[in-house]
Amino acid sequence: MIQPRRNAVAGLVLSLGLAAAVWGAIATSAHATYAGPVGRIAFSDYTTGQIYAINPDGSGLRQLTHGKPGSVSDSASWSPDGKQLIYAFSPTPETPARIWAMRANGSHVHRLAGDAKGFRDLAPSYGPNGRIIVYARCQPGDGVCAIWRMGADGSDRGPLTPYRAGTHETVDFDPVISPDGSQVAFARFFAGGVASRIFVVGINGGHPHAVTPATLEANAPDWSPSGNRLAFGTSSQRVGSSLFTIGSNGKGLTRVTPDRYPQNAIGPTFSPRGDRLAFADDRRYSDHCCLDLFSIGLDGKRERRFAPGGKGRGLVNPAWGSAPLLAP
Amino acid sequence: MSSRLRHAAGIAGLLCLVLAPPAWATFPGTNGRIAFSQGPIFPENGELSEHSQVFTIEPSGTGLRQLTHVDDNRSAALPDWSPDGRRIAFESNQSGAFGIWVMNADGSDQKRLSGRKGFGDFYPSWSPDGTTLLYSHCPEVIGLGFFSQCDINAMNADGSGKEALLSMGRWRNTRPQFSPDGRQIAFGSDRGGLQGAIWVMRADGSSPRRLTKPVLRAFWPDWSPSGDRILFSDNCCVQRSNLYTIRPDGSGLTKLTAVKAPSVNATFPSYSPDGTEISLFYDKGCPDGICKSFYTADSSGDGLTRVFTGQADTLITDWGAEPAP
Repeated sequence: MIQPRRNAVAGLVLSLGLAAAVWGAIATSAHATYAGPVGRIAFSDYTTGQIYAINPDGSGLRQLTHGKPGSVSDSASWSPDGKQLIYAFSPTPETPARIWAMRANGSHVHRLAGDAKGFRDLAPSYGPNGRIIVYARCQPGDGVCAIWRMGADGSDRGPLTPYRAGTHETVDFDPVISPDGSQVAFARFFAGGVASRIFVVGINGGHPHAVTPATLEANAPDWSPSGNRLAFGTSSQRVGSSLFTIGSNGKGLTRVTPDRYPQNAIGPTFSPRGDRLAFADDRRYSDHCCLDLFSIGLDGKRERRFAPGGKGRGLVNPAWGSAPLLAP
Repeated sequence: MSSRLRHAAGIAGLLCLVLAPPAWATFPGTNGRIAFSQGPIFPENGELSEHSQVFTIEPSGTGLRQLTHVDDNRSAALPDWSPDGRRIAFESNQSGAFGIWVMNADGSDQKRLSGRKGFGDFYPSWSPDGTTLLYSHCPEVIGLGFFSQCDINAMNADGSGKEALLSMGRWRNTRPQFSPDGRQIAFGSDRGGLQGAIWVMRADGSSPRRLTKPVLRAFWPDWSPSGDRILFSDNCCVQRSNLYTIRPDGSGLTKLTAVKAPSVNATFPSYSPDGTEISLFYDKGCPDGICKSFYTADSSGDGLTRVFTGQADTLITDWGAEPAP
């Protein structure tokens, strides 16, 4: 989740942002899940910089991107029909990321938007009709981020939230469109001196409002396929993230994963049936080196590890879609 | 912290002697030397690899003395004068993990009081009677190299009797400072998911309450010697910090400085022992924000006066009391 960080007092006064910055190495991102058949799960490995897809039972692993060493492909999001993936791609560590698209098998790779030189386009997510994409567009360098939308072909780009820098610094990240297409949930960092909360805004940018309490330091939201609930991670200023769901009206906060401080469960994605979450978790690595992918029932039961990271592997940003399962 | 101690020792002490039985023996404080260190060596910062030494200097900018001589890849930082102006507590990782150290005002007799592998101890500050040290005690997050949580601990001035005063929750509770009467502790914290705020609790760690609004992003509290105001800085996490005071009951917020430039900051303040002046970090005109000076000002924030130290990255100051003859 956490992203960029510009810093204070010439790098001296730190702040919560710092922990966030540390976490940035293990950033989570958005990926809306819509109702449909239970299909494949796309994810990133931040150690290889590539995107993969796997069946929910751990079979059928395929590498989808084949970027050159040093490139980063991350934050995959399925189109509702499961035929396309969009993702953020930077060809070199120094090159700002852009939104790219490919077919579910990794073919037909192409860039969607190349405007606004120096800006970083991150955390893209399809809308429920497959015709709209929302993403975070971040100002050059370590600049702040706002939520933007565009057509699925990269056309008609425009902002949904404003850029706020300086003493009013706000970073908007991880947008996901509600299943009815009327709203966008996203993580808003630093607004009013609060580390992070999940906000909801109208699809045209109207009536932004927080739905999570400040104390959770919530991040990386995903809508349930029914549109009634949001799943998210916590503790954006520190370690010890666990997963919760909350009604999209801000009521009914429910814990899904136990508190395993200082270990972390991050970046939840609903199954297309809405009964499970997939997420990344570092519980098996006391030195926080690596992450595996797990799925769990919304009641916190029936947990399974379906993609082991193993030493030196960091599997993150699972996105659960409706692409047909591959035979084992 | 020294501010509070000295004033504890100082004017406030005198008043206490006259008006009420003193909770702690204190001394009249006249303004003495200013201790300072380099760089942001504290746990909210993910970059603790910077180098720092502890120095003292006259408020006029003369008589620079380097008190610590740690290796280039180690730090000695965040000095805090004892109430009598004869000792300085500081934090250092010169022997491994960050721990709390004390030394004489001339740098002699340096002793480590705390510090063990897997933890970092930061922000030492003296009690008004000089018998107790407060500090932040932070478990290190293995593999990530930063501190996600800091408790507030106390120990005797010889390093014995370590105890946790505030360990509730998993927040970063930092820069604890006794009030001049020793009955309360002010501290900075990100409790509740805020970027920063000033809190006050009883000396036993009970009844913590927040004084400042979230939007201030407040940090770095320092009690006035009279105990009626707490000095702090806003914008912990963004640029353009200014100094404020607030009463310990949360009323009377007053802005002292008027920094308006986007990347200039007035921050890290410390009261003088007589309460009439403050020292602070002010980076206007410093190349890339790396200053070789700090400033003094009237306690109202007026009369900013540059004190040249010649030491790169001069950052944290603590104004000590003149030792009694």
